[in-house]
Amino acid sequence: MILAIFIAALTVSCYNAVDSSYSEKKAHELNETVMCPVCPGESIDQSQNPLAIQMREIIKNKLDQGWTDQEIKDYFVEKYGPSVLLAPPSSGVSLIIWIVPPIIVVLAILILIVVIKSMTKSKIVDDRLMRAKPSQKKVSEYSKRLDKMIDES
Amino acid sequence: MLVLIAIILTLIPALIILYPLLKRVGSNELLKDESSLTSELNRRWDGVVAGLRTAELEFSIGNLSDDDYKWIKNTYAKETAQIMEAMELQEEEETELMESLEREIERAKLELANEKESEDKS
Amino acid sequence: MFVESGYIAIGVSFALSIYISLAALTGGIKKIPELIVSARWGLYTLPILLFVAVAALVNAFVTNDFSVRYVAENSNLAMPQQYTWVALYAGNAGSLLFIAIVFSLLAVIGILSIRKSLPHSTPYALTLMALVLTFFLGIICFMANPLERLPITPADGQGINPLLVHFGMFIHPPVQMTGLVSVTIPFSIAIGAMLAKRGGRDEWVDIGRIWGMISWLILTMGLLLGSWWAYTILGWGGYWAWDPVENSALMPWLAMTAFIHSIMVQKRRGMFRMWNMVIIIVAFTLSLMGMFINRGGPVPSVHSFAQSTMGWLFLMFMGVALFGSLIAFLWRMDNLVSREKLESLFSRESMFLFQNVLFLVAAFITLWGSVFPVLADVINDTTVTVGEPFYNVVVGPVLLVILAVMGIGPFFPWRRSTRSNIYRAIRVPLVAGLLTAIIITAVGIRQPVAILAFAVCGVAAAGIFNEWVRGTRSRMRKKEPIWIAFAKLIAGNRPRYGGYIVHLGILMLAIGAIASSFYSIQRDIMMKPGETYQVQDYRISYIDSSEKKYSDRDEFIGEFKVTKGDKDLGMMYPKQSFYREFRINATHAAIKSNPIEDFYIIPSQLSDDGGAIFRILLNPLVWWMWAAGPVMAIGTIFALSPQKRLSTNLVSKPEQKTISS
Repeated sequence: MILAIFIAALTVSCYNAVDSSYSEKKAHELNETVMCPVCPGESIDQSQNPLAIQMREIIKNKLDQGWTDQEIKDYFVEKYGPSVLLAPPSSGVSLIIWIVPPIIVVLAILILIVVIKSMTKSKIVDDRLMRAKPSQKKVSEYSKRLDKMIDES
Repeated sequence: MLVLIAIILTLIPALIILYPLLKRVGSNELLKDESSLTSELNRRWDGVVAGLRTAELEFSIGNLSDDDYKWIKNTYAKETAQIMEAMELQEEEETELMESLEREIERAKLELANEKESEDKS
Repeated sequence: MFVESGYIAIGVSFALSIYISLAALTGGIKKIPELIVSARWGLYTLPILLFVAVAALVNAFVTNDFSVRYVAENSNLAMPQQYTWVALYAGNAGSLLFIAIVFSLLAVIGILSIRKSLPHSTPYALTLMALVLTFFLGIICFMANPLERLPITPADGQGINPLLVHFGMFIHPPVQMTGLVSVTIPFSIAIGAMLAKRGGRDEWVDIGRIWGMISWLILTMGLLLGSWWAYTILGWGGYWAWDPVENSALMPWLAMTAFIHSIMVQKRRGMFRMWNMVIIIVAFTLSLMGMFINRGGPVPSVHSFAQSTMGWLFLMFMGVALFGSLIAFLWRMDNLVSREKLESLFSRESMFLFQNVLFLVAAFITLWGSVFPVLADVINDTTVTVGEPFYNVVVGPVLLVILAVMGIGPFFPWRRSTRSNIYRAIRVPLVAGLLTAIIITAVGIRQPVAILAFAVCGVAAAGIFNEWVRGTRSRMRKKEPIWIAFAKLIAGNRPRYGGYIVHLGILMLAIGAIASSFYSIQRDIMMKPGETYQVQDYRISYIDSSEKKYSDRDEFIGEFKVTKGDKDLGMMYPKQSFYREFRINATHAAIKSNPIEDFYIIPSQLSDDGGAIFRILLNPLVWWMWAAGPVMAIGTIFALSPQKRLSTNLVSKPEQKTISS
């Protein structure tokens, strides 16, 4: 029943689902990984700078000529240095950048385990209600009154 | 002219912050204790009500099983009883405190009256 | 002379805020109520003083007083009056003054909201707020005074950065800056209560939660407005670039999202007391970092509008705040023992804990990515860039898991449940997710990550709708008609259902982000007037271009007629402006937007024969991202609206007994 409503909603939103066959997809992907050297922090895909446009042309031509992704990336690194790539290569110093996130995840899991363990332990807390020790009779009396209160609301 | 503005800009805030110090404003600033037992008991009661409401809702939706629902209600009943008991205990203590204070005041009045009598006599 | 008055007002404010910090602290520790009142009244005076300074600055702009350095740097004779608003915060010094006055107002409202209900915590909260104010005012006073005069008055100013001259810039920066600085309020309340030894007494939690949510909402709006502005103005068809400054606004948002959830557990059950303190400290530190990186921090970005050494002062203040808070936390840790224990792993409480950890992981990975280039440069002398490809691979999965947790979370009841109950309950959303995956694969989506992402959205949607439907149905058993049942359901449980409305907004955001990330179509084509081009079933005819020369810029306007299939969509006018003095190109995209997709044209490179390279984009479902904004706002306000307390006929409130004399 609920599923019906939900599926309806989703199908509507998927209706546009544009098929993903577009040419220049490769070039587009590559463009997003190369930074425009003269614009701060923008990829050549983002930037409208003339140099960026030129570089997009270069990539398109090289792809047409049959260069591989890695060869094209290497070409740019040779010209502009390693910082021209938006994702650091997986070697050398840059390896560290890829290693730390998994370490963060592992640490987080450990912390989660420790915290849960400590939270599930019974505590001797200075709960100011502790000195109140109501009788069983009282508890059941209140239990009935609470039930009534819930039914009324 | 600028000197005048400078004086105004400095003087008015200075006066504003000095006023409470000189006129002793705010003696009841710290009077209410946010951490009094009464306020905590009220908060705990609100918590019980909210918790029961939620349990009721989750039970009616089907997320909470029969057993868990009963257990939760029972736990809250216990807590309610505890809250009531704690309130009564506190009321008893307060009444006792009041009574002993009043007794003290009575005694002091009596002593004062006795002193006056002996003064008059002599 | 107005300028000098403003200058003096800033100086007095600085001295006043020092006084407030000292007076509030002393009054709080030594229990001297008069000092506390004096400090409070001093705080109430601050916004007025700062208003004098702001008024002086506005006046200087309006009268084109270029003897004031800030006015000379951020405006010129040609600038229309209404841009004065933007110019106020366009530059470093002005934005600091803006932050100072906004924060002083927030602080006043904050203190007014707690002084009656938290009399013992208020002095400490006031001290903390005043210390932050002192820092900002100190920097303004001594390092970046917007009312500083130039030795020689130039004939004309430099003018305002052309990228800022857009409607989005009238709201995004102010909202974003307000959001960042507003984190200080819940922080001050929490730590203030902790310093007053009342951190574990939970009285502060009610108002702390409210301020947390207000701050979260402002941050959310700031982020959305920024993305929307980037989408319409920066002209690459995207809305988020994982730029260090964007990240620095995202990180406190992630931490605050964690906070507003876990604080609910403290409110209901007196648990997570230590955890919440740590989270709010992290959130506050990240918000300081957000403001720091904006000051021209060490990482280059599109945002760096002020390269300055004051960044290091910010860093130091951040360090002091972080370490001070942590030491205070360790000192008061004994007061923060939880009242109750976690009864079951299969409870909403533990789900919130898990969610919190996920958000913190996302925040710290983002932090690592933003800071790594600096580290690599300083330690190893290597220049690295960390951009979108990194974050997509590393943070993307975490966000996806968060989305999944958002989906199955509602099936976890408060307090406790059993494994089998949970398995039974989450069958529904999991099936929904699977169905989503199957359907969209059938419709034509093939990318595995996209399929997974949409399936997770399906799980999340099912989670939200399931509760709404079942909750309404169970009320309908009491013979209530469907609309009344639904209305009463959500009105009776506002925090819960307001939260689900916000989740719905997040879902809308997610769907738009996933669709546009994977399925945008982009074409860069060279067109001359008279040519037509076809993309999917859109056909554009390049009619003509026109060029307009303004005093500060040359504008190129393309005129396009657009049809979709056989429906006429009208004209589109993408623009590119070249600002001569700044030598910057600013673009203005032409967008035809509907809930299904955005059709987007932007000029990229102009050639001399009237032709140009145009970028055409078909972005699916982006409309949903902007629609999510109001949804989240409504949800938050609903969650914050006060509910009628149930009758307290089981409790008799003890009367205040007075001493008879």
